[in-house]
Amino acid sequence: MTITQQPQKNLPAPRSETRELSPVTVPRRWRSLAPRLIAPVALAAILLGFSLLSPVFLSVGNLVGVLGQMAILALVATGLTVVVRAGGIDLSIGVAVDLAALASAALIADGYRAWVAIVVGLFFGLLVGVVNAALIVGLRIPPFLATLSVWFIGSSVQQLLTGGGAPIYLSKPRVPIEFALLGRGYLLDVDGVIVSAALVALFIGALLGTTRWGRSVTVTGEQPTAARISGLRINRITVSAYLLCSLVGGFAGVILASRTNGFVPGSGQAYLMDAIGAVFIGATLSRFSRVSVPGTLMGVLIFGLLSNGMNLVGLSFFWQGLGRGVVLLAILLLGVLLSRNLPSGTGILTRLFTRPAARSTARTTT
Amino acid sequence: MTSVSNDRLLSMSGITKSFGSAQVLSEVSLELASGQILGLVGENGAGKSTLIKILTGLHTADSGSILLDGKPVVITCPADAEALGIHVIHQERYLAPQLSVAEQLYLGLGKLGGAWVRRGRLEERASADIKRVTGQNIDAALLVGQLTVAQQQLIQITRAVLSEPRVLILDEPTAPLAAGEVEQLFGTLRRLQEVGVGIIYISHYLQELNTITDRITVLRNGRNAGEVSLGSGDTLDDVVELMVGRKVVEFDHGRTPRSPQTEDAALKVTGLGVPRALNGLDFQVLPGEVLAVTGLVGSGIEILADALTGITKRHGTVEVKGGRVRDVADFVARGGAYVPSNRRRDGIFLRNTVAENISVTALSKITRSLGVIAPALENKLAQRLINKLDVRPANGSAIAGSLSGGNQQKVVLAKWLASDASVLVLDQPTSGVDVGSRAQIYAQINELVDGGAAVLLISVDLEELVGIADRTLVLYRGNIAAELSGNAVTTEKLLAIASGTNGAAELSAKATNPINVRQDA
Repeated sequence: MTITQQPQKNLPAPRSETRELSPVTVPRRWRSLAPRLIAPVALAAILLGFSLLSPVFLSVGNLVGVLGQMAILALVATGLTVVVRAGGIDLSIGVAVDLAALASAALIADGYRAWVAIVVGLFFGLLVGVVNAALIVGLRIPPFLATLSVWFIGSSVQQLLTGGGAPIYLSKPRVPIEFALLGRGYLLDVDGVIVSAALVALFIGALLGTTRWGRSVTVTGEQPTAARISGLRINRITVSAYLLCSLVGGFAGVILASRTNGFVPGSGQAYLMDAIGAVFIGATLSRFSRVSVPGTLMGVLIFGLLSNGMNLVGLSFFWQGLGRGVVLLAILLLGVLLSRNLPSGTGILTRLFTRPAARSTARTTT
Repeated sequence: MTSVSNDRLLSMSGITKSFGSAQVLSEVSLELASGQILGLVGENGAGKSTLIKILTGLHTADSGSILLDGKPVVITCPADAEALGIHVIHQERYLAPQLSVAEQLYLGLGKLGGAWVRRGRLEERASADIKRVTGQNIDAALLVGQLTVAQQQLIQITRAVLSEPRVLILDEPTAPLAAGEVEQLFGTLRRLQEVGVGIIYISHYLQELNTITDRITVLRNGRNAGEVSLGSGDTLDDVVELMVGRKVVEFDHGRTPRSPQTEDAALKVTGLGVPRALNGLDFQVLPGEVLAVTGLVGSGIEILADALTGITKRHGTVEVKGGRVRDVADFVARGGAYVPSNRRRDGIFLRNTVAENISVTALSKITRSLGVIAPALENKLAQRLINKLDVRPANGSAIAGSLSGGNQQKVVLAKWLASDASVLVLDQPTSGVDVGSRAQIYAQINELVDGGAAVLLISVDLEELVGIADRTLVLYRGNIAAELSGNAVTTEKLLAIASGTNGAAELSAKATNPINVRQDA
């Protein structure tokens, strides 16, 4: 039976004839497809499972509601996708969300105009990125540790700025309509935040997927020294990735302030862990194990539908973390198991803990 | 049993292995006597590595048998192989970069001593062992990751020898090594041979096989292509013919040294220095010439390309076509190209497609308005260069990491053809590359140079230097020890100068005879 499968290789043929017979491509194509189907299958399983358990789960109203709840997470995760694609990580993106929300809420509370509050909010978000970029590119601190420090510092800063963590509440009549529309408006009966998140995701997705900048970010994230040798200015590229990430985080923060009509310290940081999970679930979609905006959005959707479904079936809050963790672990574990023996470079995770573009020049005597 | 035990140490027969529907080995056999050094050659993809992986338990054969001392053995994992005394030195160096040299050396050998490890004593012993096996002084307190590729290779060789193997397999052991270290390695192998160790030696450097092996087994397309005994009348040409099924001409000998087209240097280096490695080198490369640089490990050639292109910190100035170069992005922007020696880490993007690898230096050419890359332009560019360099598979969407070493290197070269580079710095461009690909790479270099490109070729492959270089600089302890040009270059002379055996006095004495040897201190 196997004879029919065997390529005819016993002729001492000129090399051109063996060209198509590169021995590993055929099975590898199938083997490499399997891990990429994990996340879609998980999503389908969640949809199917909860639709059986809860009659309202698949209703349009519920699903649109889920999208609205997921919009801010989607924004945060999209921003995070940029830095992970560039070979880094940003644990401080929650700080960017919080500082932006804090700044814009405080300015609105003080009676400033909407555009001032929005611009200053975005600026506060960007500021986090500036600090990150300075630490990582300037001082060569590994991204994981640099952004972890900024996370700690940022948490303290917002406590101090709010006088020990007191929430800011905006009274509705004082909020300018433009600012209110950002988080609570509707465009053709669609929740405005869904539209905002979709536009930002589309923009960043196109930026990463189709532009020269996106390509530069991708190869820098894969192998920094090889990118440098190819003539790319990897420091600038890395800086731009961190800035864009925190800018998107800042935008998420401004929307958060508008949607919740105020600011509660630490509320942005709650998105960090879900965002990281979503980004790495997304990486399993790619044949290069590469993170991407569409993959991230699928990860966000998996988390969003999972929590919504667990709520609908009346699972207590205490069980929901368990549910999320198990799903995340199952997806990543399957991804690792199914993509064994496939060609790959250094994994994304290992690179987070190493210095960017490090290169040894040690010498010994002969 | 006794009649075969000494004669045939290892015998593999009828080994067949397929991955999915693709058969990579069919009915391959191999015989190794104790005290024999057997060459194993074949082009990339011929099945050498798979055969070795079966012998060392990384893969399991679909059918076939392995006999050790005439007794059938079952090897299902690397630990089985090690327990049987089968040790391998892989081409990819499986070392732990965060361990110290001493720790790496004795890891898993059970020779660390008692519960407490005395660091100082361990390091002393490691240094002594390395010195004994390889003849090199390596500080055993350094981390493995701090060593050069060549030094890492020496560590791996030492480790294998310390484990007292019965069968030792070396996969491209000399690719990163300089000539003097190769000699030292051969000395070690001959000592192992004398105590009855069977050695399987895989190499693309056929000249080495000529020196070290008794017999050569040739694989082609997953089958035994033939056996060659170099002692009994067969030549290396026979080996090459068996490997590729046709004759290959690597170098067009008899060519005259090129006459550079202008006197304006394309690459001008002044006072290039790196602390403890390079002492202020001055040289220039004219358009249309190949300047080669060679030397032993420690002579500074490992760091030269990195220093010159600005990857590592350096003193001195580097000018490309009259413009001063501050960093590697500058270098590339001015038409420079750098093919680094560590291909898998610095040369090729393993997890990107071949097309993405090729276009990375030419992004501006394939970008339309708003910075958007045009896939059609990218594919066209990639396909043109894939065809030109005969990259296999000829498929721009293949993942670069799945290509063979030779084809990966062609992709790296294609990347620089895409950028229309005219000043090329090639650091060991054919290390670990099979004969066929190597000839194609040389042909490409020659074509570029004939078209006016300037090439700085850094290589420890002396055959390669003699075959392709117009002038050759020899580094010795961070200085230019000599400059040889054109016909004056012979492998013997290069080796003598590089290893310091040929002192300055002797060199200047020789300089009186052939006019084109001169000393350059």
